[in-house]
Amino acid sequence: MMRRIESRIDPRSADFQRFRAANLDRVAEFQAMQDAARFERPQRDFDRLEHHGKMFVRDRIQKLLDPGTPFLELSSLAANTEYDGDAKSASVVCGIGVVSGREVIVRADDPSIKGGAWYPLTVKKNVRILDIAIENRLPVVHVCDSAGGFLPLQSEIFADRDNAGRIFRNQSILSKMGVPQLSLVFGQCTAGGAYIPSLSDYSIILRGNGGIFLGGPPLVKAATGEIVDHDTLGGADVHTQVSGVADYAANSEDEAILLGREIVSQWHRPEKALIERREPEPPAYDPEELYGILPDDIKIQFDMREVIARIVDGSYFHEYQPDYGKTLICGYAYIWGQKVGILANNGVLFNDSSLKGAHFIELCDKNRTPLVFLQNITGFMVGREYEARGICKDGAKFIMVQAGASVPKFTVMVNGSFGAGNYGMCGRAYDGRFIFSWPNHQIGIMGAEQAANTLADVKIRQLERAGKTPSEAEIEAIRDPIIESYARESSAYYATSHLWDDGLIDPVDTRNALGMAISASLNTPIEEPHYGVLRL
Amino acid sequence: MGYHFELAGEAHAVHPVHAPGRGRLSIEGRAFAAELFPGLAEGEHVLEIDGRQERLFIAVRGETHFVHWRGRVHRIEAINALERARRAAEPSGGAEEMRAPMPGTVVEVAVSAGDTVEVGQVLMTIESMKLQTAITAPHDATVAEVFVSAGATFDQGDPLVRLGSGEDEEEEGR
Repeated sequence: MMRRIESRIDPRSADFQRFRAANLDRVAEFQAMQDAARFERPQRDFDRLEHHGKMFVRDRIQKLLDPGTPFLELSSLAANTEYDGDAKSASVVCGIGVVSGREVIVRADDPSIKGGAWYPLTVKKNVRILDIAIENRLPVVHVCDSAGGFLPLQSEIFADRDNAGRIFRNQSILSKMGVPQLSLVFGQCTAGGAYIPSLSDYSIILRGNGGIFLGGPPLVKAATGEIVDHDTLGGADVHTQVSGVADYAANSEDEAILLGREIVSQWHRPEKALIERREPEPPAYDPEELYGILPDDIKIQFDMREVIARIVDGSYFHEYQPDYGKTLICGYAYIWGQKVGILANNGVLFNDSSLKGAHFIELCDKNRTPLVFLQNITGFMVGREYEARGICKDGAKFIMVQAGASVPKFTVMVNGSFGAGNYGMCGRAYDGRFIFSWPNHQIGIMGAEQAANTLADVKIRQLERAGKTPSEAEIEAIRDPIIESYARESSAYYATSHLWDDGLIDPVDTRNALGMAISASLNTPIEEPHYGVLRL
Repeated sequence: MGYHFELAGEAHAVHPVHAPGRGRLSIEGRAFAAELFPGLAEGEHVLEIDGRQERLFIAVRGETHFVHWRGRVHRIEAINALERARRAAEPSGGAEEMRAPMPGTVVEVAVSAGDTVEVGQVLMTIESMKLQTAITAPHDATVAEVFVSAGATFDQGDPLVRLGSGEDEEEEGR
């Protein structure tokens, strides 16, 4: 039994109304961008799909999923700031959904964009979704329809550790772990792409459009002079009757999807890791009120308990050490009936809040409670007094314990994520299972103003050493471009474009996204707790 | 652990009874078989208590329940037993000094000495480490003294505002 958070928000106040209007605008902008990425294509691209008898990628996914079940799409706005915005969602749709009653990952190439060619961020997104599959032992259904690597940018997609080779490495590791994969070959799988169905435990290839080959007909002709057509080289009948590269042939996408659903229904359902559970119930406060709680200016502080109250079951929260290290709220709650330990920023991290965070994470790790980090952090406190008290070593304790925790971790970027605060609160580098971000969120090594002032100071001192005194205009000329580039690169859209998170979400969807993510994470048994050496 | 339900100023202790079978409540120490079924309309419920059936409409916000029953609306506050015990033991409305939680500067002062303030009311806004924080009244009080003005800087622990209780003011008046 826990106590309910008592909300102190007044929905009639002027602040609430102003914040709400600002956040509704932000969410509308996000939804419009997401809709465009999902559904808007030049008509000629839709015409081309129709000409080839292909379904749009979204329709393929909808037919594959169990009707009426949720699909948690990840990184819907990947690549939105790159390649002139051409590669919508980075040309691949990824998410977690339910197929034949199994929780699976769906990874579907989008042939409506440059034939589904892989841009550097497409590769990054594919590697990330297969990392998610490995970490959470989620089976994968690949819908293959890609022209292959985007050759003009080959140096960014081929040779490095996390480039295309990692996709096939991850597929191999999934198989070793006993996590099944199915490929539906609805287009050409050429060169590296040929390994996706070949490394899957099950594959279905479509007669006509489907093709798997290391080199397509033009490349074969150039290499050996052999003239061969697409079907003879790597069509459905060759691979299911002669080569054994694929397992089943199908005559239509519909038939292939239904056959795929039958195959998935043969897969064993994993046993979930044991955590504390109870009957789910909705929050006692309306999640829509989040729009009126989140300020319209990143500098305005707000009580993160108000956010917790609109995410967790019944708004029940057992707060740990409520009177110590008050700038970090720690406590237990349930999300969709699954117990979690929540760490939420309510100000700058001080020595005491860092120690409290480290202590609370150790408790959760020992009692097998997944961790949820709600980030709104400008950093660790600076200044002589705090250095003397050892803010560096207290921050190090927080980071080390967090990095070493064995229980699954989840992060929501609620507002600000700056400096080492990002690290302590389980930013991308700390292998949390999922990171979701709100569209207003900002992220960076420091704020734009602080960076501009720091860099301008350095430049002014250089000039002064050279005996010059810079004018106001010269100082402005140093500051302005820095502020501009920092502002652009700290935006939530830039962050999600580069896969620094697993997608932007509407704040009111936070509870559902976390609920599905936590459920998915429990396919993997939780390791025993063990830690590095703390500087005490 | 259970709840106290405050109805028309009077608190009633209610505990769920853990026993085989479903839906048993202890109300003021007496056990009842009770079950609540959702009705067809929004907020509509049917309460079955000791074999009797009552039709209710219930709206909830936080711990406040508005129950429409037999043509009248009753406002019921659910108070968690632990929360009630904490409130009972808390000293109320004493004089106190609000001190700076961290070093920073004053952005705006919203009150002056002599003002009466309600719990949660903003006394001043301070800025530190790029963040603006509102200093709010922890309980209903009168502002006795404001130590800083807009633009001033302060260290951690410096006094910002002193609150007095109504009684202090009277004593000072004598």
